[in-house]
Amino acid sequence: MSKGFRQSQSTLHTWSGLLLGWLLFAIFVAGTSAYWREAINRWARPELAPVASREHVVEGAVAFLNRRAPDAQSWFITVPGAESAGGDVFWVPQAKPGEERRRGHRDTRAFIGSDGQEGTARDTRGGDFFYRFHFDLHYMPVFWARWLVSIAAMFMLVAIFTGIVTHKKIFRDFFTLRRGKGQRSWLDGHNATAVLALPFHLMITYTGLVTLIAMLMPWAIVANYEDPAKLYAAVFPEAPAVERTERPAPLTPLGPVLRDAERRLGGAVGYITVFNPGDAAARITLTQSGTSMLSARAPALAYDGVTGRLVWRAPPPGGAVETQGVMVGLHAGRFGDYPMRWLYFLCGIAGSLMVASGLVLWTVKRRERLPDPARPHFGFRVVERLNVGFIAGFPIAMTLYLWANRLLPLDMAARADGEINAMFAGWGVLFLYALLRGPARAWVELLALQAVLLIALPIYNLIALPTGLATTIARGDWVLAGADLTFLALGTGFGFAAWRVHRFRPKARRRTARAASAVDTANWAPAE
Amino acid sequence: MILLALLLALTAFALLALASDRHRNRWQGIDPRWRRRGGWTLIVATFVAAFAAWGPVYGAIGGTGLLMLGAGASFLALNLTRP
Repeated sequence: MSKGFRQSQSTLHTWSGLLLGWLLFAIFVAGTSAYWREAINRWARPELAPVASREHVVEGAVAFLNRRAPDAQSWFITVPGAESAGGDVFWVPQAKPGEERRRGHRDTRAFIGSDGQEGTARDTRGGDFFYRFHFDLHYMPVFWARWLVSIAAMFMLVAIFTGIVTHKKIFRDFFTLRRGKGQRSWLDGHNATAVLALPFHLMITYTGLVTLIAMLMPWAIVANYEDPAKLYAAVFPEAPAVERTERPAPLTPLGPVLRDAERRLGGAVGYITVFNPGDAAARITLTQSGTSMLSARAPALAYDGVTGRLVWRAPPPGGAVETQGVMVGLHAGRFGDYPMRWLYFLCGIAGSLMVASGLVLWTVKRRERLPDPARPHFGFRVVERLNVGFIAGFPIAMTLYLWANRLLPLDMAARADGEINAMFAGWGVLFLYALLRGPARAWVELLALQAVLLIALPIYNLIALPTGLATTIARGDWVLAGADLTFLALGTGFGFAAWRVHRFRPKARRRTARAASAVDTANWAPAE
Repeated sequence: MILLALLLALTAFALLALASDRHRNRWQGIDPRWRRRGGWTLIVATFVAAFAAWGPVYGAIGGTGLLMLGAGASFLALNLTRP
C-alpha cells in the first residue's frame, strides 16, 4: 500500500472523526444507556412494584379500559416484560365529526401497575428519554435530528474504515498498551477500544444506518410503491379491518387468548390491540415481542374478540423486510438475555471511550507541534474546551436527569419535561464553565463532579426511598440493585479518571527552539 | 453453558496475548507457537459453547461478544499489571 494512500486515509480519519465526533459521543452514550431502557424506566418510578404476573396486568388493563373507554375505536395494551413495573395502555376514541384526530394525547393514555390498577407513579419518561434522544435528539424537529444523527453515523462509518487503513499494525499491536508515554499511550488506548470491539462498532454503525434506511435511501421504495399505504401494509401487515356493528357483545377474556397466541408464535407477546371493544365485531391483534426474536419486525395474530377464535395470521415477511428487521433487532439487542445485554453494554462503553479518546487524541497530537504551547491557536483552544464540554459534560447531564427524577416535586406540572429541561439547563451551565475555565482544571473538576453525582445516587436511594440497595438486594430485585451498583461502578470509574488527570504532570518535553521559554504546566490537558 | 463459553473466551485470549511479541516473556510454560494454536482452538470451542448456550442465531452474536470481552480482559490484565 502506498504511503500516499495511507496518509490520505489518515487525514480523512482525523477530520471525519472530529467534525461530528462530539455529537457522535452523545449518541453513543445515550444509546449505550438505552440497552437498560426498561431497567431505567423502573428505576425512575421507585413507587411501583415489579410485575409478578403479566396476565394480571393485562386483565387489569382490560377492566380499566372497560370503565374508562368502553366505546373507543381501539385499545392498545402493552404486555409488560419481566423488567418492567407494569404496562402502558392507550386508546383511540370514536372520531367525532368535525374534530381532527389528535395523537399521543395525555388524556387517552394510562399506566397499569403490577397490581392491575391504574398506577400512580411520578410523571417521568425514564429510560425512554435516553432511547429517543439516541436518534431524535431534543428541542428540534425529529426530521432534522434524524438526518443529523444519520450524517454522524455515516461519518462514523468512514472513520472506522479509514481508521482500519491508518492503523498499520492491527494484529501486531493487538495486545499493546504502552503506558506513561503521552501521545503513544493515547493512540494505543484509542486503538484498543476500537480494535477489540471492532465487530460491534461495524455492526452498530451499519445497522444504525439501516434503522433509518427508508429516510436515507427512499429510492427503492419510491420505485416500487406509489401508494405509501401499500408500503405500510407490506412492512407492517395488519388483519383486514372490520366494521363496527353497533351490537354490543362482551369481550372474551384476554388471558386464554394471550396464552394461545404465545404458544402459536413460540415467544412472548409484546402488545395487544383491540378493535371495536364491546362490539359484536371486536377483533384482537397480538404482536410478538422484540424480546423473544432477533428480527424487529414481529409477526402478529388476530382473534375474534367475542369467540376468541384465531381468524388471521400475518404472512411471513419478504426478504427485504426480514433483512431490515434482523439488522434493527441486532442493533437494539432487545432479544438478549442478561449476559448478552451486558456484552452489548460493555461494547457500547468501549465505543464511547473510542470516540472520546479519539477526540482527545486530536489535541494531544497537535500539542506536541504547537509553536508556543502556552498560547495555542484559537482552533486548538476551541477543540480542547469543546472536548471538556461534551466528553465530561454530557455524562453529567444524563446524571442530572436522573437526579431531577429524584428531586423535582412530585406534583409539579409537566414534570417529565421538567426533568429534561433540568438536564439540558445543567449541561448548558457546565458547558459555559468548561469554555471559560482552563481545560486542565475543568477536566478534573467535571470528572470529579460526575463521580460524586453518580456515587451519591444510590446513597440517596438508600436514605430517602424504600428502594435502597439494602432492600433491593435482600429482595433479589436485581433490576434495581443492578442499576444502583452500575452507578457506583461508573462513578468509581469517573473518580479514577479525575484522579489520574489531577495527578498528571507532563514530563519535560523535547522543546522546539521557539518554545524553549517557560511552559505553564497548568494549562496542559491530560496526555496520559 | 454461558459461563463455560466465557471461561473459554478468557483463556483463548489469554493464550493469544501471551503468544504476542509484547507479552510472551511473562510466562515460561508452553512454547509460544503452541499458545497461539491453543488460543485459536479455544476460540472455536468458545463458539461451540456459545451455540450450545444460545442456539445457532444468538450463539453467533453472543460468542462474538464473549470473545471481545475475553480480548478486552487480557488486554487490561496484561498491560495494567506490567511492571
